[in-house]
Amino acid sequence: MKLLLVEDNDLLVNELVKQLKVAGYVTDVAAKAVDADYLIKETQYDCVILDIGLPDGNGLALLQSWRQRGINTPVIMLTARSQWHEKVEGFNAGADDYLGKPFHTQELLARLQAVIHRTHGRATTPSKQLSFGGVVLDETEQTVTVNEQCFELTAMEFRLLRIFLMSPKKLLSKAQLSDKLYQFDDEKESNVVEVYVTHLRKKLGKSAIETRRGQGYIFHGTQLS
Amino acid sequence: MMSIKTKLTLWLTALVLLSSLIGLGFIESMLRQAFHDSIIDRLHEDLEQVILASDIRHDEVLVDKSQLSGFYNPAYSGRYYQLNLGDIEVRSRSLWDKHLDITPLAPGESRVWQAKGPQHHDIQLLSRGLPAIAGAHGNPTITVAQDLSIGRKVFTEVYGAKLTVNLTTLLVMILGIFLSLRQSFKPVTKMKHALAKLREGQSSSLSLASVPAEIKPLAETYNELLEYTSNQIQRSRNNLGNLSHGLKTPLAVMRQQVEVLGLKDPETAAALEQQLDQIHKMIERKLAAARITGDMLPAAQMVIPRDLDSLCVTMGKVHHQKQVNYKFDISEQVPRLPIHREDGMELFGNLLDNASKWANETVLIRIWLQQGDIQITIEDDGPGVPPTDLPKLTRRGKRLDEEVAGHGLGLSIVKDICEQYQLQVSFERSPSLGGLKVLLQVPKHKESIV
Repeated sequence: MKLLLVEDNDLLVNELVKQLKVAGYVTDVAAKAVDADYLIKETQYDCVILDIGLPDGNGLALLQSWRQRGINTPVIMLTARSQWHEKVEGFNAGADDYLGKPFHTQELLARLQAVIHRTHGRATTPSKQLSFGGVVLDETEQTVTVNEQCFELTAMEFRLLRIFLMSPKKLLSKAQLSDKLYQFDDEKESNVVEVYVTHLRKKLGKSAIETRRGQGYIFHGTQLS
Repeated sequence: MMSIKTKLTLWLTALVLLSSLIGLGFIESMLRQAFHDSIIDRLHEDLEQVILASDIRHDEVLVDKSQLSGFYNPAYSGRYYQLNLGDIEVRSRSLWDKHLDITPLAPGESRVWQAKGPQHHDIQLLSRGLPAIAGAHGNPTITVAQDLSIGRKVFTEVYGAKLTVNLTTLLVMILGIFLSLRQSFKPVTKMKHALAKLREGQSSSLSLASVPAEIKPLAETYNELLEYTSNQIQRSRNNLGNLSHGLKTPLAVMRQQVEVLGLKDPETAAALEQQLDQIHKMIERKLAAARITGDMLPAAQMVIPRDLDSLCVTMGKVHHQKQVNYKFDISEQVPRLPIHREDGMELFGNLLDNASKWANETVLIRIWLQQGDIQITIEDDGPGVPPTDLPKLTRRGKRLDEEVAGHGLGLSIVKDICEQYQLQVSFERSPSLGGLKVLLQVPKHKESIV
């Protein structure tokens, strides 16, 4: 899962990126509206966390311009402006959720999950679990349960499996996958996707992930459904 | 205090009435005096004529009637004479069977008086004593008299006519005063209406077009002041907003750091967390309260049901994990609420947020007019608040979040806003839905809001 965090406070950003990483998200950071505008055109994000007060512009105006240009990436406003009329404006501008500062990281994570699930049409209750075809992913514990057997997942495995569970039965290219696993300016290791797909197959069974040579991977799960 | 218009009308009317009455009285006495004087003059002439026409001897008095006016002939004609000399008494024919009661006068003495004459009419009399005649007893006294009733009748008629004319003029003048005052006070009345409109928030400044020259500077100053205040309020709002946002981001950073600290030293972290929480709540509440203004310009007011609609859409997104039905029952007589939009949004945002939090599936919003007051209720079909806890919601100054779980900071802000706008807020059990029912009352004519 790849996020764009648009926020100009360094301290807040550093800590938040760490916590998001623990929760299995890869986060690009933009401290300015201009950077955010550039990044969103370049990369396919799963969600944007957007502050309103940016040094070079207003987050709401930025969001409006994205929505006008047809950029429908889900957006969570993370802002000190938490009065109700400001929330109404935020939602009217096209936000998917709104969180006032100061906030609890756990709440941000919960909302993040909910927003991402909703955009993938997977509004699950309880939303802590994500499942498909007999594979149940606990996003809080970062474990997977297959055939009543529970496995711990490494951070990379968790991220990869979550991407698969968000888009089951769909062809995902190696580039798409690695894009979501790494930050924008990270050195991308070419075989990393293959390595982690192999790791996942060991835990889920070989048929859970199908390889299409030259094209990518399709997630099937362990049961036919 | 009495209005200037009423005062002026009363004063002017009183002055006109007083001066007219004094004038009338004065003229009446003058006319009466002139009337009286002219009669006396006439009697003097008559007396001379009667003296000339008389031939008075010691034993006999003869009056040559041919030299006298014919008025002395018909009975009770109104003009009379009488000559007395001792026992001899000569009367004009007009006196007929009556005679005048006279007092004999010494030679050269005169007497002017009034008495009842024939037919019981008031008559004016003039007597004069003549020099004594040789061989006669005493000296003769000649008296002439004139009936006053006819002259008086004429006088009354003339005077009555004059009175009628005067009174009519008086009425016309009073009416004129009333009309001209009303006409000249029209701009002031217009301004009064304009001010009322302004206060009710139907306009944003006083229209200068119809303001008379005398009041124009006042109106202009008022408009300038209005604009200044409005700008000042906006600036304060912005500054307070900026302050609040400026404080909240560092607070967010601190909370992040505390969360990290919590992994190593949970106790310290919990203590810090609590402090941060208090700071946060304090900022939220105090800034929300400080930002409340009484800016009543219509453009700034809450529009019903548009603003409630968008608030409910937002509520739906905030509480996306459940499907809440927002039902409206809003009277068309209430197109606006006399509350600044931002304050109104905060007020209803908090109330609807609470309702959405607790509702199973329905939140009902009703707005209607009752004897000019706007009544608003927000009800939910949630578990409601136990009757024993309801008074705690209404009580002021309590840490509500400690008292009734879930109805915390939001309700404090609601109360601050209600207090500022002088709205009545009360809580009870919803009879139809079973959950909490919040009742807000907006009084009809609120005086200026600070």
